[in-house]
Amino acid sequence: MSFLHLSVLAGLAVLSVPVILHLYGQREPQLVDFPALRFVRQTTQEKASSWRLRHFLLMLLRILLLAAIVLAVARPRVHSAMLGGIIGISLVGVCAFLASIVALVAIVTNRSRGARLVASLTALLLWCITLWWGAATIAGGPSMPNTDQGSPVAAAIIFDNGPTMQYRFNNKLRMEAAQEMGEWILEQLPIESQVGIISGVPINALSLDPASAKKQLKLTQAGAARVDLLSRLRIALELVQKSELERKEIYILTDLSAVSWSGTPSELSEILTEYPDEVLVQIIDLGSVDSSNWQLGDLTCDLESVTVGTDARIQVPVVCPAGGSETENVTVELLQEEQDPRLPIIRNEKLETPQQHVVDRKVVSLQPGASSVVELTSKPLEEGTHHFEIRMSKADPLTLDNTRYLTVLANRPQPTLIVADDADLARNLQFIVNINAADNDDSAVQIIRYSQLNQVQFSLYPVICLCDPPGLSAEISAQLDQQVENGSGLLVILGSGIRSAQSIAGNPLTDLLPSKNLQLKQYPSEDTATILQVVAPSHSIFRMLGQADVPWVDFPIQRAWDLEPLVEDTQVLCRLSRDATPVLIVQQRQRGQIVTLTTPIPAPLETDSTVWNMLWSGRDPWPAWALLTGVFRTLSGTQTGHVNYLAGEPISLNNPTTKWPSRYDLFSPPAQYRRVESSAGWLGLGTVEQPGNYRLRGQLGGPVLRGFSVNASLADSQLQRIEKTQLNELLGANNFRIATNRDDVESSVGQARFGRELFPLLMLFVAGLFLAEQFMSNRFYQLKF
Amino acid sequence: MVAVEQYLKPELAAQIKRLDLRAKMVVRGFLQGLHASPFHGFSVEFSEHRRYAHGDDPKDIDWVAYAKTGKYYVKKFESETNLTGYLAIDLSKSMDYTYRQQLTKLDYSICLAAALSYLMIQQQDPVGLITFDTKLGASVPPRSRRSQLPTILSHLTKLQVAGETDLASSINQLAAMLRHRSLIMLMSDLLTDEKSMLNSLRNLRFAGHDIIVFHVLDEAEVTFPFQGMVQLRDPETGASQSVRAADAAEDYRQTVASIRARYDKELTESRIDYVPLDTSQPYDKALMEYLLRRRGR
Repeated sequence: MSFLHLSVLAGLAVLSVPVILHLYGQREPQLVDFPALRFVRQTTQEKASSWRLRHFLLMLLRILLLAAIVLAVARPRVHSAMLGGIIGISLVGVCAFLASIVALVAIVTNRSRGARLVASLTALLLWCITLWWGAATIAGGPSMPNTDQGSPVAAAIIFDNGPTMQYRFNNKLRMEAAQEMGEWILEQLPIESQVGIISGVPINALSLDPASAKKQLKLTQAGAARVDLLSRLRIALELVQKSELERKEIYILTDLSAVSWSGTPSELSEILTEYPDEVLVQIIDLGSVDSSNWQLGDLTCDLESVTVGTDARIQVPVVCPAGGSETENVTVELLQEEQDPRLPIIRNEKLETPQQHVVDRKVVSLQPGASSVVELTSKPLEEGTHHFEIRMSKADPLTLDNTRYLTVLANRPQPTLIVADDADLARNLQFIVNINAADNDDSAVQIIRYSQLNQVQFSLYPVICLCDPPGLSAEISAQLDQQVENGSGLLVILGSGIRSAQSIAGNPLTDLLPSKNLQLKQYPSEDTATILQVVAPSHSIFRMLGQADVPWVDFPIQRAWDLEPLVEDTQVLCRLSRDATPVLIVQQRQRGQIVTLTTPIPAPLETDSTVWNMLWSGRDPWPAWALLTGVFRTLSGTQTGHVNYLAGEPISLNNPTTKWPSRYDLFSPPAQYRRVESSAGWLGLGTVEQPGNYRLRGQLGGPVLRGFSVNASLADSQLQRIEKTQLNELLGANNFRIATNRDDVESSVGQARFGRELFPLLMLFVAGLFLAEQFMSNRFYQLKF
Repeated sequence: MVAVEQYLKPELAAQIKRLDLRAKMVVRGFLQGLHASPFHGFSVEFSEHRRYAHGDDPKDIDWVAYAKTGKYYVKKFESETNLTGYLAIDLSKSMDYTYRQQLTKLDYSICLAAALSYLMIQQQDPVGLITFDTKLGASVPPRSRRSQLPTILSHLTKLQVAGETDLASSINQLAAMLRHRSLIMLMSDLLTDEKSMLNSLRNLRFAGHDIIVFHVLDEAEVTFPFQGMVQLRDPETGASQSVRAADAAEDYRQTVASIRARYDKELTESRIDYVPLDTSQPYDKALMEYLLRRRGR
């Protein structure tokens, strides 16, 4: 317990006044001769005792009244956790007081011994309970923080700037409401306070004063990526703990979106429990409980990179909010951007982008709570980067997920040389390389036999594939090596063309391989445990495979060349699951690279029934197809990395300077511009939060336009709120407070910072005592006129 | 000019300094107020005629006198028998008490005794005076001569309160002293031991004496007019007690009323007349009581 005005307690000295008045200040009664005194004595003997008792009680009441007034003026406060106990103690204390009066009356009026004993023991028992409870509460209860309201505060303000904070309610975004609330909180803090704004930007200390924090607060924007409030809370705890200031407060401005609170708790509850009395964790709930939101789901596109002249097929789920009663129609439109080399440009602080045209439109009818996938198709794409926007006709409070963005690359197929003695294999590979080409259009892919190698001009082919090479002459090997160093890509698919390890030893072909030593490994045909295992899934070769679970187990491998030891500058992308034999190996050779596949895909039709693998077997060998497509695209440079990202993901574009400019102007929505440069063949752009089409404009013998798109994840923009019970589990039930408006915050923070005021309780007590005193004194001094 | 009836009021009678005049005025006032003759049927001798006045009983008209004079006269009578009366006055300290500072119980008793003496002398009844506190004090033997009145008044004017009261003892002494059947008019506040006092009075009554007990209390002793805290002190014993007047008043009045009722009951059962008085009451009540008792003889 503490007092706001401790010095007022000196006023308790006035308690002596009623005692002094009682002992010395009583007016001497008027002395009157009265011969009939004997008649008075008969009647007033008992009343005199009663009168003395009442006089004593009146004095006691007055003492209590003065004490209660002084205590009330001193503004006592207790920790909120103790308030219930204090009220309980007060009630028991009042009972003890009343029981004492009853006992006193019983004793003074000489009631029966039993009555006196029972009353006295009851009073004694109640006083014992009061004292024991009071002592236990004060000793065991939490201590009050610094009582000085003007002392500075170490305050960390955590901003939930996740996607759902863009929800509009009462014509105001939740984010705007959070900023207003944050500014108000900062205004309440003493000037010397140390403040930190935690909104995703790295922060090392609470280095701001409230005024500076207010400015920073205004710059905070809601992003489209989920935020991890638990991590931010942990950071905030570390920061406030580091501060030397005694008062430590953490404010979390959030809409209590379940997504934002879905991070790993990492013993946060235990950490908070360690110092619940030292650090105030105040959650300010800015989310409305009732919310409604139409959503466009995450986009699915067949390919981010397509061949020129083909169209892009896009699937997008449409989600109708639950809670309605009628089926509603919604129109989904696909807008395709024109190709204009003069744009984008920022003019008069506005971003001018090429004009968009609606190229497809679908109408769907949805029941409340239902969803449907809409498929949209673009126009045939010219060469270059194409930006799309998918829009929904429904307007709702959260506009973030009503629009989706897409970027698709349309590339011309790179001239590819396929060297194979097996014509079927060659055709399969041709099909993989140029899947979008017309049946009779095979100009981009040249197929030759190994016997024709010395007639080919390798420099015409950026991509060369040696399918099951039996060996190479030194001259051809050197030419190929030179071609790779100049920037071409070479795929070597090893198979049964090499008769044995001894036969290939010393062959110039080995100069192109990642190892000079080859050893054939065979596995039992019934062994289904020997499968392909991707060990570098982030490599661009596997981009088409995506994050999906690839059923490699359906495609066992029986034979493969083991290339060990590997030379330097090689990277193993796939191994065999049984013995980690490398299967797919990448070598970087100056400006080009060589990819070696140690088991043939597609497998040759062997006459001796030797089976190498089952990768090209079955009805749907899509993993092998996707793998080879990825290899060809990587080698041809058309696999430039992802061009569609989720907000918060790191953005990195393949940017070999032989093909692309090294410097770009990045135009970000809504109207921002900055210059970016590539490094080591990659254009790293960090993470972005704002959804939209991002455009890159560079110069390399003319304008070069590239770009990418960023979307908010459907999962991140869910409006489901976290339940109080879940918060209790995450943070600990008594380790935080929740408020919804300024009054709540004031009350909650006030209670935590300054405890609970006992003033109302004491004033109630004063009122009761005053009435009792009036009643009793009137009984004493009633005058008859 | 104040009507003589007004002198029945003690506060007015007290303004007359001379006791004989005061007694005379009281009795005259008393007699003046009697519209109907209380003496009718009394065994008294005819003393004189007076003119018939409105309100007189027509039976008392002397028709012979009417025949002679043609005017209505009524007869006035005088007592045929002598009633020896003793005025017994309590001189204990408690009798010297007044709250309003006008008339003590003793003053009231003296005035009443004087009036009674005057009345009795007028009727030629022998009247004597006895005072007592713890024992019998000075006494004036009963005489019916006209000179007896100044003697008694002279004694009355000299009366001073003495000490405590022992009423029982004094009555016993009085009973031993009286040889003839007498009318004893006791004026006391009866602040003494109740039981012994009642026994003594009964003994006195059994000895054949008529007794009228004038229970004289101060007005304050009846009404308990105090307010706030008061410390009451018994002037006889010096004992005191602090009381809150508001608390005690009601109970006190009830106590006094119950005591008076008890005295009345006890004494009436013994055929002793009990006249509760306080110093604010007019004297006619006491005088009437005397006359009624006189008629009963």
